[in-house]
Formats: sequence, C-alpha cells, structure tokens
Amino acid sequence: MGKPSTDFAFKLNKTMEQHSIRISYTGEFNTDLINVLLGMSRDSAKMDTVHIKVYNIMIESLENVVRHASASVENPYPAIFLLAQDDEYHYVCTGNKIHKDHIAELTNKIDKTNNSTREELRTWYNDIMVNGETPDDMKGAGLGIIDMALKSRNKLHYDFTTIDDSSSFFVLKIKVKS
Amino acid sequence: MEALVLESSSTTPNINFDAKNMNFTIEGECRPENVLTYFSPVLNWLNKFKNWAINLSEPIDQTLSFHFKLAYYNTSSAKFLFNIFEKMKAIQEEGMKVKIVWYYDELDEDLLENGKEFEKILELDFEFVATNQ
Repeated sequence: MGKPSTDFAFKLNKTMEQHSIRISYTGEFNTDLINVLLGMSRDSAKMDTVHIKVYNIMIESLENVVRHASASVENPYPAIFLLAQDDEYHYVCTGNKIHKDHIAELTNKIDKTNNSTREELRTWYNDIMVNGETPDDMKGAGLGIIDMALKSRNKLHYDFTTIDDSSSFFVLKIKVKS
Repeated sequence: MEALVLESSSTTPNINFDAKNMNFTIEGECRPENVLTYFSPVLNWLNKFKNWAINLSEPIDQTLSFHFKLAYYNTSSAKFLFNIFEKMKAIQEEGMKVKIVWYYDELDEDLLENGKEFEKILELDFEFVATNQ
C-alpha cells in the first residue's frame, strides 16, 4: 500500500476494536520504543496483580523482538506488537521475522514449555540460570519463553508464516487471565 | 574500601554498596541494555569487598544485609543476580554472616516466587518483605 487512505484508517480502527486491541505498534523496534510502549500500558491501567504480570511479560516479549531486529539490521522487516483485552484474558502478542534455521529450535522450546508442569518449568529455568551461557546485548539468557509461561500461567500460542526462502514471520501470543 | 554507587536510569537500578556504613542496597527496575557491561563492576566490587573483609584486623561481626528492592528484572539479569548471590555465598563461606532481604510488591506474586526459588537453590538466609506501592 503506497498511500494510506481514510478508508484504510477506518478499517484498521474497526479491526482493532473487533479484536479488543488496546495498543498496536508496527515498524522499527528498539530499546527506546520499549520504554514508550511500557509507559503507554502503565498509564492506561491501574497496577494490580494482573497488570503487573502483563507489564512484565510485555518487557520480555519486546526485548525478544528488539534482539531479533538487531540481528537482522541489514535487512530490516517491520515487526508488530499488540496488547489486547477481552472479558476473560489480557493478550500480549508480538510478530517478527526470523531466519528459517531458527524455526525448529524455537518450536521445540515452546512445545516443551507448553508440555511441562509448573514444577518442571521451574527446574528447567533454574538449570539454565545456573549452568547456561552468560548473556550479553546480542544474546538473551534463553529464559524468556520459560519466564513468560511461568508468569502467564497459560499455554503459549505461536505460528510461523513463510515470508521467502530464508525467513518466516513468527507470531507469539501470551495470555493472562483477567 | 570505596563504595560502589550506580545511579538509576529508566532501565537500571540504583546500586549503593557501602562497606563503611554497612549499607548494601539495590533498588529499581533492572533490564540493562548490556547486562555484561552493567553487572561486571558489581561482581568485581563484591570480589574486592570479600578480600578486604578477610584481611581486616578485626573481623566483621554484624550480619551483612543485602537489600534487593527490585521492581522488575529481566531474564538476562536473572543470571547475573544468581552470580551476585554466589559472591555473597562466598563471603559467607569466609565466616561472615550474610542475609538477603528481598522486597516485593505485595501484588507481584512472581517476584516473590522468584525470590523463593533463589533461596531454595542458593541456601542463603533470605528475608521476604512485602511492600505496598
């Protein structure tokens, strides 16, 4: 789409309402943006137990997207962040391009997370924290997925859509009971 | 023994480790852009502190209370918090008394649970303090 039309804005607005989306952002992701989105989510909610969880999950999921974005800086692709809410759940959703080589590993990790009991997740988390590699600015601790599952107390939803021969669009949705 | 003072930012906590006044506090949000760069001085300071304390003519008698008032920490920081606790354990193994005081928002069940997990895997003396923010 070259030129945005008023019709486009209207339809997008309608779609956001239909999906109960509170915050939506698409484009370039960096650390400053994380602070902006966190500020927006904090302003629009009183911080009870559920909102603290959502806020914390937001940070972890946004940091994941920023890390992926900085890894593909030569060939950027817009990522998306959504924060939504219906009567039952709050939803934190991110979408970003990843290299096909990472799909298997990511799938295994999320499936293993979803098939683990809380006790097993704790043991796994602790094992990586104690014995895992030291994280730096380019590489996370490998704990993000497990941490988000522990905090959300729900299964993680994910999907991969092929973009081209070498990459896919990875969508991760985390929900927290209202 | 010079104090370690790191001012807080939107993504990093305020750290004040002051051996002279026996005040050891870390407070705020912890999600540094580069965890390795951020935490290295903290770990180095704890090494120096241990060596300094061992060589004192009169050993430290009072309990060393380390206050963790973290509003939030990311998973990259978790690994470094564990390393910090290990340094504190090493201080304890030199015969000093160490206590970790873990503050958490009473509405933040995950922060409390994370503290309990650290207590379990480290076998350090933890005290939990609920706060109302």
